[in-house]
Amino acid sequence: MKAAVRPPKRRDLRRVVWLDETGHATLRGLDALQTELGPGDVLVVNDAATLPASLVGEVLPGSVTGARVPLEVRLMGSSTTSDYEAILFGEGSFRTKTEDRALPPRLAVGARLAFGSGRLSCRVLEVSPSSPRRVTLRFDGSPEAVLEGIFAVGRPIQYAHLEAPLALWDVQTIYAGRPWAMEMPSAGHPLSYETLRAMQARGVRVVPITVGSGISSTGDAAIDARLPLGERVAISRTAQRTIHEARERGGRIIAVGTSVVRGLESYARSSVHDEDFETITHWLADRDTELMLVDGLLTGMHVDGTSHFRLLEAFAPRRHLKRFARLADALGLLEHEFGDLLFLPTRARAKEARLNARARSETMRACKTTRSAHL
Amino acid sequence: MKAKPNTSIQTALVTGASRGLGRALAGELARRGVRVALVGRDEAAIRQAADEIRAEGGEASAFAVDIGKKEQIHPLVYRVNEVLGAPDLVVHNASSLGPVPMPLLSDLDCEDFSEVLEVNLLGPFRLTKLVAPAMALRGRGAVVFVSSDAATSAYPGWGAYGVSKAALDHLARSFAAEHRGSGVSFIAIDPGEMDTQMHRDAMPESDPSTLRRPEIVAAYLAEQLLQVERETEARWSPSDAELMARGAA
Repeated sequence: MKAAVRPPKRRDLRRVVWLDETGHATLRGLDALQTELGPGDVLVVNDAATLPASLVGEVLPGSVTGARVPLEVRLMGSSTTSDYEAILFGEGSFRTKTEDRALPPRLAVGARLAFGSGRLSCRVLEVSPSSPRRVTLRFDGSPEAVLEGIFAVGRPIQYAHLEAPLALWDVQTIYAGRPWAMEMPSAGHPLSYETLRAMQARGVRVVPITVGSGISSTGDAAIDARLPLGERVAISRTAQRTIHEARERGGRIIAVGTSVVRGLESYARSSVHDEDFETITHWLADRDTELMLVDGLLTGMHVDGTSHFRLLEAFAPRRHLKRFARLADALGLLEHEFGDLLFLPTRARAKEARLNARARSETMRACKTTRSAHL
Repeated sequence: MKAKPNTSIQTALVTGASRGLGRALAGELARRGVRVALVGRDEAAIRQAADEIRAEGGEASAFAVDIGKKEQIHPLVYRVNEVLGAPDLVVHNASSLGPVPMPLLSDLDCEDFSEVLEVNLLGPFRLTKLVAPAMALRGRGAVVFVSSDAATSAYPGWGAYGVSKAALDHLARSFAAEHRGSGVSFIAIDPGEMDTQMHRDAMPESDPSTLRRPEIVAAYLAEQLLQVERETEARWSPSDAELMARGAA
């Protein structure tokens, strides 16, 4: 599939492949959210802001023999404001294919790195046994100073297929708050204020949770095999109450983005009840996963083979997902950041809908007089 | 002694907080148990202000940011969210007079006019965009726009500032119109003439004894804002009598 090459002029001009619970797929606009969802339903969004996670800097002398060595650090995930998982790149720009870039220097535990003429600095806590490019970093200074430094010297992670470099404001949702995401939680990007207002006017509750979505791919197969990393999750008591109340009344819980699925399902599997929920989740979904809380997913188009795609198999069989991908490609839909969207109900809801539909048609055959059976 | 917050305002962001009304308001809010993000261009001054508030037992953090620079707004909001929490109250107080002594419009360079609009109008617009949607999702919050009677009366020499404040008043009304039913309040305030550095820059010959004390205006404003319980659209223009009745410590 083709990727979007630039952010859209209006964030809400996207198309959605909408799969309804009977398995029927239609091509819609974002206004489908208003017609398909209704009073009592809940849209759960990820309000993590995206950090400018690409840091260009150098290894300080004493850590590697000789002079300062330039490198790029890409933050992949964080456990706290000061501690990050990162991947190292050698000199070069994002326009150079990863495999063609210079290798980064091999670092030892304790190596010190500096960015922006010393504005930000860190030391290496760990080097991954699976790859010398995978490191754990601890940044110097108070959490406030670390954040200030990352925002001052960092740039958003860029993508080679984009026409022009992204600015920090290009990779944010409109409700973004805590800077926990290394990569934009992109399914929420299309949600304009106008769209959210229309949802609320319709009686759909829009509930934010915070999930520190990590990098989904690095271009290094050995490192990618171990993705996704643990992600910070925060779900407030208020959010929990809204979700549970809606469920009790038969409302659907719709996740905007796969990060929200990971956040909600981690919470559902925890013993936390009616208090603020904070964790670092390693929960993953695959085709055998029975989802406990989520009834539907609005997501970007994902390429087969990534862990995002594996999560989608919890919603629909692989053959259906491949069919959507072919359909989307044929329709000229766009994938990746700023691309088009896919809506999937869960298998459980789809199964329930099929059973109900079957029961309805059997009832109608059995009766002489037509009687409508409402679900 | 720090009072426990008894309102839904837990975190406030005040721009132009290193001196004048902004500094006074930050102090009054902190005294009432609100966590305050102080924003100003002068790093040393804003840090000192935050230190003073903390020394009194308040919770405050300094953010050295120029509201007139568009690339500084997103990092500011995300940092505040992490360090203090999502802002429930944002006060657009930072203001530029333009060049002083203040020229008549026909003697004003258009670049200087643009600069005034960047700080006084575009800055508040950008900052409001980044906090209002999250407030709307929470169903509560307040955005305050510090205005002036120069917005409604045309004083010679006050053209750029007056135009920016007239536009700011309408920005407040327009945001309010777009947020009806959201629970978010949009309030403009004309604090009257205060004894501040800004006033001295604009009118050096003024007699300070005729001017309002910014601490009194700030106390009034803090009291009023912490009492806002439901979605409010308003333009406040407190009289001396109202300030004396409510704002005295």
